[in-house]
Amino acid sequence: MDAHPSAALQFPDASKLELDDLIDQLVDRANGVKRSQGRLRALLRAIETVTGDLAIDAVLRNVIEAACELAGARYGALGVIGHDGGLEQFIHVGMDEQTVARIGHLPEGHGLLGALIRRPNPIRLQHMGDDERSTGFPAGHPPMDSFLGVPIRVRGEVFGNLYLTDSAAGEFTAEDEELVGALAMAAGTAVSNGRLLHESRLQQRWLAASVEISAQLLAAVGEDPLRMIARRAIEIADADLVTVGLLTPDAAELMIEVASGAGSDELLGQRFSLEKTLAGRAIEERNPLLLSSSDSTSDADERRSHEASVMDAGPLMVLPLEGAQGVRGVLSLVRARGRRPFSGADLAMASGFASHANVALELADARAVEQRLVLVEDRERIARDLHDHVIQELFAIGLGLEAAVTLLGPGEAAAQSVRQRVVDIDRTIRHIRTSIFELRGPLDTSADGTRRRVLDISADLAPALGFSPRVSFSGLIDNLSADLAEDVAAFVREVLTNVAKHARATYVDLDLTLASDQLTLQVIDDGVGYVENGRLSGLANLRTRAELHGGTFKVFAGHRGGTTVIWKAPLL
Amino acid sequence: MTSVLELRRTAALRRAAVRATFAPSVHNTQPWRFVLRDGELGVYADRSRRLEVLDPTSRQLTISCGSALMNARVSLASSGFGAKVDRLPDSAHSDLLARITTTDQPDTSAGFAALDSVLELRQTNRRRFDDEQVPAEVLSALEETAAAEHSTLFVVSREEHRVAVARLTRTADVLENADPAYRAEIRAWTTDDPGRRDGVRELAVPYLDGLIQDEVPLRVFDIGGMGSPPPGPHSTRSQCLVVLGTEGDRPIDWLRAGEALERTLLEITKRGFAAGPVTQAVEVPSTRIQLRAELGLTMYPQMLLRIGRAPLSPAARRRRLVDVLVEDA
Ligand SMILES: Cc1cc2nc3c(=O)[nH]c(=O)nc-3n(C[C@H](O)[C@H](O)[C@H](O)COP(=O)(O)O)c2cc1C
Repeated sequence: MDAHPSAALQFPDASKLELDDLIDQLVDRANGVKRSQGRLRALLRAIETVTGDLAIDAVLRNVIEAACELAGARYGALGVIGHDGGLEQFIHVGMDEQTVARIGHLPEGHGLLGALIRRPNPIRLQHMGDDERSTGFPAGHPPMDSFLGVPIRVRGEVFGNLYLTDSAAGEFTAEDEELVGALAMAAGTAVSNGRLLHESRLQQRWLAASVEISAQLLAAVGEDPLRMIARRAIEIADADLVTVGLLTPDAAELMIEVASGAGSDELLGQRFSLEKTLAGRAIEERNPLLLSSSDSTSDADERRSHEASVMDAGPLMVLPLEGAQGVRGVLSLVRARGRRPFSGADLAMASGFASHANVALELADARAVEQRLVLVEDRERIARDLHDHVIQELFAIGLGLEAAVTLLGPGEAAAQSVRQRVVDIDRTIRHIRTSIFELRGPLDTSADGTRRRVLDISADLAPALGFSPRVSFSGLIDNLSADLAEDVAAFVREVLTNVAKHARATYVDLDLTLASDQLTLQVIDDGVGYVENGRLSGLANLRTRAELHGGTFKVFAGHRGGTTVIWKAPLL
Repeated sequence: MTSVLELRRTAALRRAAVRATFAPSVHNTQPWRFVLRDGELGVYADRSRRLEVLDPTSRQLTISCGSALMNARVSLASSGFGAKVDRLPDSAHSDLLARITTTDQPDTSAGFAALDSVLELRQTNRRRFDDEQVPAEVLSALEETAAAEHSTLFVVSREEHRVAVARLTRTADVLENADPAYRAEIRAWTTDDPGRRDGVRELAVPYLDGLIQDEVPLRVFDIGGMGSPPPGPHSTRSQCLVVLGTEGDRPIDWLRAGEALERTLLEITKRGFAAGPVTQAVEVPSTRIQLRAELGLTMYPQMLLRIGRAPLSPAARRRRLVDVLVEDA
């Protein structure tokens, strides 16, 4: 190995030399010491320039320029080593643009450059062409002869290498190597500080975004929080496309719900199979993916990123969105092919965005339940109001009228009409009970009683009829036996369908009464009537059903047009 | 093998469905579903989202879906395709309101495709409007827009007509609010819940404390004084009011009215104006009849809008695409 530079300053054995020689040497050495001091000052200046700037790219350029000047090199370059051990970044000085264009591609880290990557120790050569590790130059590359390469370490890890070629003195000296080595150490510290600063700035921006998103998570208006997450993530993580995909209701596929960046318009609403995408794998494994390329060829199942359909996708992060209800979807961030891969710090930040997205999704679930409860309460209150006040008042009026009839005496014409009013009131009470039931009913998803079914069927047929049938119930209709309940459903459906198809009616009254030992179903409409048109056949089935129970089925024409259908069955 | 053109058509129809979701809807119920299948986009009514008290006939539901249909048409035009629309194609499945397929002749009516760029800017504005008059040429452009969509836009300009609209709106508003079921329904659809994707936001609703009575009152969203743009929208009879109506009053007319409504609203937005529906008077049958009579209309009024200039309001949310868009390969 090369001697330490201080060894060159030791005095050789005096007895073996002539005095003149000795004096010459002394003068030489003295000049050397002066020169070395001058160079040491140059090194200090160089270190100052290198560490003065905290932006990493500027630091790296300053390092190469200072090194070239310090060692009198014509060309200088700095290679940053990537995750895969190749050269991720290659910055160089000394070559004009035409030459660079002529060479075409940048070195990838083979030959001598690769040797330095594999064994991070300084390499100093008088003629690089003579070295067995050299693989020569590509076409168009200017000739280079002497070579000096030293590693740059950042926090103990090899970050990259500094390469100098073509010393002005024809060859790099041991001293050059020492000086450049010292500069590389200073550069390592500068890069380390620069990284820390970059990370803390990123942290700051992420915190600011985080505060903004948190506020939006609690807002009921304005930008959709998922959209905001995508918008901020793309900017802070320096990605080219960010998407949020949610599982479809059958959990079979992923649908792109929100997208920001290149090709986002085209991705929105598009669905992707879980088996064929990297997003699917993140969901299966319930773990984030961090890949330096979207199409890692090593992947046996050949999954691709869903973003690859709209862009030339490169480095990528996919994070599953998981809440109390299991996995809901993914957040994924992509850079274009050829761009630098995401780092561990990027993944940590993306995880922060993913947890915000989770909150947004969870909140929607939790509130939906709460909202339902509020709705139930509201309806309950109205139902109670109706029941406690309105029905009771109507009852009271009805009872008062009944009393009046007795006073008038049953034969009176007036008594007749009052009695009619009482019947009307009765019917009104039953209508109200039905609406109370409707108010309470639809929210109670467990209820599948006969009333519910009848109301559902009427609602189903309302569009065909062109209006909603008026339905009223009396008695404990929900307690019917299963086969009678079936018959009720069949009756309502058949009869209403008939009215819808043939009657051109403007109203239908449907009444179901369960009194002591008999179930009576009655339908009255104002249509064109059934009987005379011989359309009864469709209803024969209903007659059979009634007769099976020992009941009856009758169809009458109303006095003022329309039809009345009555179906009766005794309860055994 | 699917051709590139087919892929482009499908992508354009998918985008049309995504854009359709930005349409206005009564109480922000978003009562729609979109089904993309065999190069065809179906616009379906989701009747489980119908307002049973306010809208038992589905009139406003159908208008809302018509607005969504207009957005889909605009989106297709901006993607360079024409839209062939089959309205209510299948009476046996009355939930299918429209079936859209693409053609190679995009709708080139002046500025139609350009409406796509204001689609997300359109919003229901319930703020106080500036005193500035809406210029006559803007109104006549809106009249033409409605006419192009088989509807009629009637500008309420005569003083006695303004008085009638104000009076009937107040009457209808009182009648509606007297019904506890109506109030329960409106409360169920008004919310300040950040997790909900539908319903009208309390914050989007003007502060109305019952003391300030506007001449043409906006709908009260039962908010207990929590609304935001103080001190009330100051909705007067002198602001610009228009009635949008159709010749008939059947589902097909409602669908067309929805298309006309959204196209009109987009034109309004494009010109830098704001608008908001004030529809109580056309919801209550008796006031609707009187409105026709007093304004001398032969058409059926479907919507009443106020138009003016006002600052933007925060945007209303939309349901997730996974909940409204279905696609069959
Ligand atoms: C048919 C229909 C009727 C409407 N009626 C009213 C109304 O009476 N009052 C009101 O403030 N908004 C009304 N709106 C507006 C909706 O509340 C609004 O579209 C919805 O909340 C979504 O908000 P956006 O329009 O800002 O996107 C109506 C909308 C439609 C489509």
